[in-house]
Amino acid sequence: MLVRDSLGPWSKDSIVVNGTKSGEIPGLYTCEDHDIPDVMAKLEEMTKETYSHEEIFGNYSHLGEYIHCPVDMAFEYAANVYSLEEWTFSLRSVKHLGGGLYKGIEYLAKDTSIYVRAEAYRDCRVVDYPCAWDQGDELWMRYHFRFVDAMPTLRKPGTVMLWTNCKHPYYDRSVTNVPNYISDARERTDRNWVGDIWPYFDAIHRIEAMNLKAILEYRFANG
Amino acid sequence: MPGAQIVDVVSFMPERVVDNTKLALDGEDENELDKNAFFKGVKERRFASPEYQSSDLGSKALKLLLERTGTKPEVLDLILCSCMFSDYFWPGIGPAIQYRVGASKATILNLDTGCSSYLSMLNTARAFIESGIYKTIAIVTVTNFISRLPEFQKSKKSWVLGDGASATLLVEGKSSFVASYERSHGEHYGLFVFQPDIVDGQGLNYWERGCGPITVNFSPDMVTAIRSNALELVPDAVSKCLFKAGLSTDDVSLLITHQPNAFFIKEWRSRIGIGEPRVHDTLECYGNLFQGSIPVTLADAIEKNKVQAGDLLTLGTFSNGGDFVSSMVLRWA
Repeated sequence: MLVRDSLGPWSKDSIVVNGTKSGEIPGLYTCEDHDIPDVMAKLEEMTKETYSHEEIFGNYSHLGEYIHCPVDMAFEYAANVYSLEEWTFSLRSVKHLGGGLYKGIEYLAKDTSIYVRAEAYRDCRVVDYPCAWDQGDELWMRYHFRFVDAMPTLRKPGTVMLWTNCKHPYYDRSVTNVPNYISDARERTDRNWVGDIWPYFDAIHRIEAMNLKAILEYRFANG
Repeated sequence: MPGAQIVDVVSFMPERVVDNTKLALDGEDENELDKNAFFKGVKERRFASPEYQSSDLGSKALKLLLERTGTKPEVLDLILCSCMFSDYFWPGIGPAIQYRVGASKATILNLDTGCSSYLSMLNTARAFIESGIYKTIAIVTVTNFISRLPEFQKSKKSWVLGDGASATLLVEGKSSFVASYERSHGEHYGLFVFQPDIVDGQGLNYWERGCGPITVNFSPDMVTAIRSNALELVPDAVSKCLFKAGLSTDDVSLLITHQPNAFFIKEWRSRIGIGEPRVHDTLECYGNLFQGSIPVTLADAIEKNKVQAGDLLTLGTFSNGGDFVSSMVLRWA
């Protein structure tokens, strides 16, 4: 098995401590201070039958999806910014402005342009799409993808796609300390603000993940 | 290993002041792009031509530096030079400066990484001193650009640009260098270029007969892409450089960024997390001097006693719309 420990071999002495040993940091929950019955009770307490939407999707929108196609195919596809025109629900008419910055139209909202970059890292099969509605000065809506080989992960051929969005404060209307290019855009009354649909991010991303899966699986099966 | 110590930084600004508030548009209507924040923040600037050639400006700055530091020109081992518009298409002005200041034992090196050239020259000087190859090095920046382009001067898009020169002395001593971060981003090559203006609907290469005067053919898309690059790259480079130095923004005594326009400067500070009073600018009075912006602003900060021994200075800039980014942390000796 290929070990991709490109920064190692590690030594215990080189760990980042910044002057403090972990034992000196208050609030850690480890086996040094808690026995097994203790931690089992804690796990019971933390595990519930049901969770509120806010608990699950309040700050992060995580998604995982199995795709039956080679992992490099999935990565190559997603790394191309124009793939967004196929598998997203409503990002269309993408064109290159220059310097790796692309501009498209977001049909989910009225008269809304979207600025996006596709930052792809082949070594780790990571694709990040930093993007933003209305302006390209700060690409604060950040879509993070990682494509993992399903064989060692799920013991079957294919790809596992992991997709995460984090809730940037600009999504939230109650956060007022924002630049003009956010406050002006947020004040528009002819459309929803992108943050207003944050509660639906999981749903829309599941729809889009199914599109991505369907496209890749169809093309792999019929290519 | 010998240490590379920055001794002093001076500027030489041409005397002719262009007052932006008194400029009137001549034959060109202000369009939407002219109103872009990309082209704002300058009250006045200096023009060098035709009073000064680039080699004149560079020589004046270096002479001033040698006088102020009591350095004999013969002790200079190397003059590093970066010039925005040399006096000839080719060669560069390094030898002219070397001869005029009487640096009879010096070699020269002309260097160009666009608006990052000053930081690249500091890195180069540091490497030469630390390796023991040279002991005494001068760095010269010369900006003599917009005053030579009467056509481009008419465009409001050029009203942020100014002229000026700087000189910096480095000697073997206590190292001023804490950390540096430089990265070429060739994926952005060609986004921001100087090229001949279109003549009779035809854009000729600069080496072809009949090409137009040098200009920048700005488009809204190009400005959007440059803004996006600049606002992301510079704070990222500064943060990486501080990380390399093992420092946080709280440790920084003074932040000096490139001076392209008020919007970039304000956004950079807010994204880096360093603001008044730990910042210094010259944009309002000198404009954007390309590679000269950081040393001229640093010289101005020194002149105004904003730099003390032991201070941690952080510099950050980018080049050519984003094809290069650079940051440096210095401990002032």
